[in-house]
Order: sequence, then structure tokens, then C-alpha cells
Amino acid sequence: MNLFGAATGYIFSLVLVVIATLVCEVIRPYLVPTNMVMVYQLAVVVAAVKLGLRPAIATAFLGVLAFDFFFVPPRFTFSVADKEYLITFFGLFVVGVIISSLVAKVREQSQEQARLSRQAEQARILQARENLERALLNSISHDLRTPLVSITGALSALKGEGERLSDQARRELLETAFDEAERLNRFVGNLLDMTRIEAGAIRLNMEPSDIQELVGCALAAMEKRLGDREVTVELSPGLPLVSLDMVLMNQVLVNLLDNANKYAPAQSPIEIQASVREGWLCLEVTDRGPGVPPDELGRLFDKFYRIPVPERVGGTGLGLSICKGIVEAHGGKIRGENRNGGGLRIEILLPLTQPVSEKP
Amino acid sequence: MTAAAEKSSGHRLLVIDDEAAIRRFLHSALSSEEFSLHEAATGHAGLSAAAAFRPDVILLDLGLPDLDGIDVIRRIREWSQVPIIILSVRERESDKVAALDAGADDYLSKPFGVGELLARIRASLRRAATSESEPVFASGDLLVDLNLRRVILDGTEIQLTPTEYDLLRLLISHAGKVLTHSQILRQIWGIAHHEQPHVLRVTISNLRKKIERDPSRPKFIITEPGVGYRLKTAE
Repeated sequence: MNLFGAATGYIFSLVLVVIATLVCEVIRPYLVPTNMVMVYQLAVVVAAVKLGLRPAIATAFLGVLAFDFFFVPPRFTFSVADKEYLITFFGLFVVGVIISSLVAKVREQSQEQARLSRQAEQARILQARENLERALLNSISHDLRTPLVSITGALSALKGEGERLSDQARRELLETAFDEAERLNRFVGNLLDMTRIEAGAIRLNMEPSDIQELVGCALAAMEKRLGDREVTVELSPGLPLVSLDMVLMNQVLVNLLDNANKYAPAQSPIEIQASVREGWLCLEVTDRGPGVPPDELGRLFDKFYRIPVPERVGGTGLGLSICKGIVEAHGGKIRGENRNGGGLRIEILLPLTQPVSEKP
Repeated sequence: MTAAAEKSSGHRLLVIDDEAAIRRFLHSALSSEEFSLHEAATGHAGLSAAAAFRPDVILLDLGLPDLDGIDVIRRIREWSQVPIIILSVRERESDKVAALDAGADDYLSKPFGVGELLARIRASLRRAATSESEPVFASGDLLVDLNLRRVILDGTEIQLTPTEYDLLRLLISHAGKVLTHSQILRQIWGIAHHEQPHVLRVTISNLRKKIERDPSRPKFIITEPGVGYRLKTAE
């Protein structure tokens, strides 16, 4: 390949010299031969810029030969009648070589510079990624360790001091350990989901699905966490079956309900609505929580984004970005907006492009 | 306790799971007068134990080092109808469906609570003990008389279409157990799952509208997302 590449350079040198010779032949009636040197010089410059040092020198050498053979009297011989032409040959060759090396050097420097700036760019990207990964790792290790601290603490208290503790204290420790283990399980699940989405490894199992059934599954999964909070469900009559992955979309609804449940005041209701809007299924979850500062709405679905609330609400900042990943994998859209009167509305649009055929 | 005394105590459970920590936890949680436990760490050991120990219920982990869990189910099903409950990690719905379609009776997603596990084991034992289903099913407000083909909700008789009734009867005859979409489709419509996936959704939806107080919070027909349906029994 290298050999072939080098040979190509020299072939192009020859072509340049042939072209220069043809040009000189055209202008021969109007110029004395010495001025034709400029045409060959031009060929050398072109060779130096486009082909590199060695082909440029070859061009200068071939140019001298061609100039001598075709234009220096006597023509079509290599003999030279006027010995002054030897100086012209020498000048043509030396200037050709100097131009070649200068151009080659400039070319090399600009390549070097491009390489350096590319390296700098890569280093910057790497640094940014490292920062992100460090932030991610910090967040993950914090969220993994917090429940583990509670679980280990509660269980060690029961193991070591179990007899000294009151029944109520024992029960509370067990409940703490159990709740925290469940939280840890949800967090690991979220991390797995996120990893899968980022790796592009989610495979959708699309099936015609009943939206009421989807809502029912999410409410069942959230039953314990919701406690006695009021959740109103409003489904437009005659909703069609929608082609979606029941397991993943259930995860989306669970994440949205979990967020609403965590951020909204305990007594405030959560609303779920579904309707058809211009070829899209529109699914909404609204709450009466603090909403999101307007200038941060755009970051709502970013990884590790958490709304700034005074009291720290436990969460990974992954739930909504998982929702976004899943909804977008369905060809859908998700967005959030603040409600009049306070609270957040998350709206999901799923395409109804493949209507399910209704057979009797 | 002597071997003979141990043998005489309660129902025999076989746990096939390669994770020592999980076997240990199951051993502590399930060993009681109600159950005697036998453990196997590999698929092959599990198959031999199933033949030698003759368990009443098998708890099978799908991720075994030597054999595919599905193969273990198929090989047990060649000679035994012992109830098999799958213990599987979350998010492998296709594995659960394959296991159920291969002949497993039920599944639990890890991590699971012992209360839920005990309920599933007892339900499996009950179903195995009574091959004939009871002529009358009652759960909460719902009463179904299979002899008279009558469905009564909160004292009022409900009119079901023949397909809705067949579906409810099928769920009742497997009460507490998961039925996969394809198992239901094959039994009620006699077709494979991929042919008519929507007829089942529509029929379930209509049935829920008739027997559930709030179809958005079903109390009888429970959806197992990505797997199938389960009729909840009053425990």
C-alpha cells in the first residue's frame, strides 16, 4: 500500500511535468524559453503542496530534463547550444528543491498542529467524561451505601442487643431494615434500567395493550408506597388498544407516580389521565408538589437531576431519565410543565400509528 | 431428630438454587413442622433429588450453572406433575413465560417476601391435592357457581358472554396461579398467541368492567405484566 502510494506520487509528478510541457508548447511562439521555467516552477509548487517533498524534487528534476529536451535549442536533444542555459537548469532545480522543502515543512507543521488540537479536544472530552463519571460514582455510592448503613445498623442491633430491646424497638428496627432493603432493590433496578437504556440494549416487546390495565398494574405496584393517598384515574371512554411494551411502560408510570408521591404534600391527590389527541395517546400524571423552577424545566429529564427542595427527598435522579429513554424507544415524547395553582404535570405522547385491527 | 421423624414432618420441598446464601435463607425460613427441606445446588443434582426425594413442591432457580432451568422443567415434566415454582430475577419476563409454558406452575421474582412464597407454596399444594376444582368459587364479593354457570357480584347476578364466562372459569380452575397469554389463548380461542393478541386484552377488559368494582384497580383478575393473568384468591 505504501509502495503503491509512493509510486502514485511519482506518477503524478510525471503527469504535472507533461502538463507543464504542453502548456509551454502552447505559449512557445510568444515567449523566450527562459520564461517557460516559471511554468515548470509552478508544477513544482503544485507537487510540493499536493504530493510532498520527494515527488516535488522529482518534478523539479523531470522539469529540467523536459525543458532541456523540448525547448532549449537544439530542440529534441539533451545537448545545449548556449551554455547559459546550464545556469537556468541549475536555478530551476535548486529553486524547485528549496520550494519543495519549505512547502513540505509548512505542510508538516499544519498537520502536527491539527493533531495537537485533536489531542487537546480528546483530552477535554475525556476530562468531561471523567468528571461526569466521578459525579455518577459519588451519587451511586451514596445511594447504595445509605440504605446499607441502615440495614446493617438495624440488623446488628437486633443480632447483638436483641434481648435488651423492647418489642416495639425490635419491630421498628426490622421495619427499617426491610424498607431500606426494598429501597436498595429499587435503586439497583433503576441503575440496571439506565444502563440498559444507555447501552441501547432495551428490546421492546410491543403488544396491543389496554391503557386501563397499564394504569392498574402501575397502581398495584405502587399500592404500598401510595398508602391512603388519593389517586384519581380519568380515562377517556373508548380508548383504543395501544401498541406498547407493557413491562417497560409500567415502569414509566411507576416512576412518575413514585416521584409525585415523594414530592407532593401527603394529603394532596395525584391525577392520572389518558386521552387520544390527534393520532397520539396522551397519558398524564399530575401532582400538587412544588413543581420545577421554570428555568430548570429543560433539565428535568437529565440524569441525576433533582428538583431543589429544602428537605432532602430520597431518590436517585434516574427515574425521569429512565422514563424518557423508554418513551423515546417507543417513538413517543415526554415533557413536564408546571400547573396553574402549583404542581407538576408530566405528559407522555405515544404514537397511535399502528392501529390495532379490530376483528369480531 | 431422627431421619424417620424428619421424613414424617409435613410436606417435602426441594430447593434447586446454586446460590448458597439463598438456600440458607430458604432453609431458615421454610424449615418447620409444616415443611421438610431438601437442597440441590445444580440442575443435575436437582433432577436426581426430584426422583429420589419425591418432593411435594419444587422451588427452581432459572439461572443454574450446569443446566438451563427450562430443560430441568421439561425433564421433570416427562415423568412428574409435581408443582414447580420458579424463582427468577426481575425483568426476565420472557424467561418466566418460557418456564410457565414449559410446565412450571408459578413464579416469584427475586427478591421476594417469605409470606408471598408461603402463600404460593400452599396454593400449589392445594391445587395438587384437589384435581377437581370446587363447583363454587368465592372470593370477596364474587361468587361463581360453576355447576349453574352463575356469576354473582355482591348479591347481584352478572350476565357474561360465553367467551367471558369461559375465560373466568379457566382462571378459576387455576385460581392463584399465573396463566400465560398463550396458554389462555390456546385454551379459550384455540389459537397461538401471536395470531390474535388483542382479543384477550379486550375480553379481559370487558370482564373486568363487569366483575371489578374499579377496573383501574382490579381486585380479582390481576395482570402480571409481560407474562399473563392470575385470579387472586382470598387468603
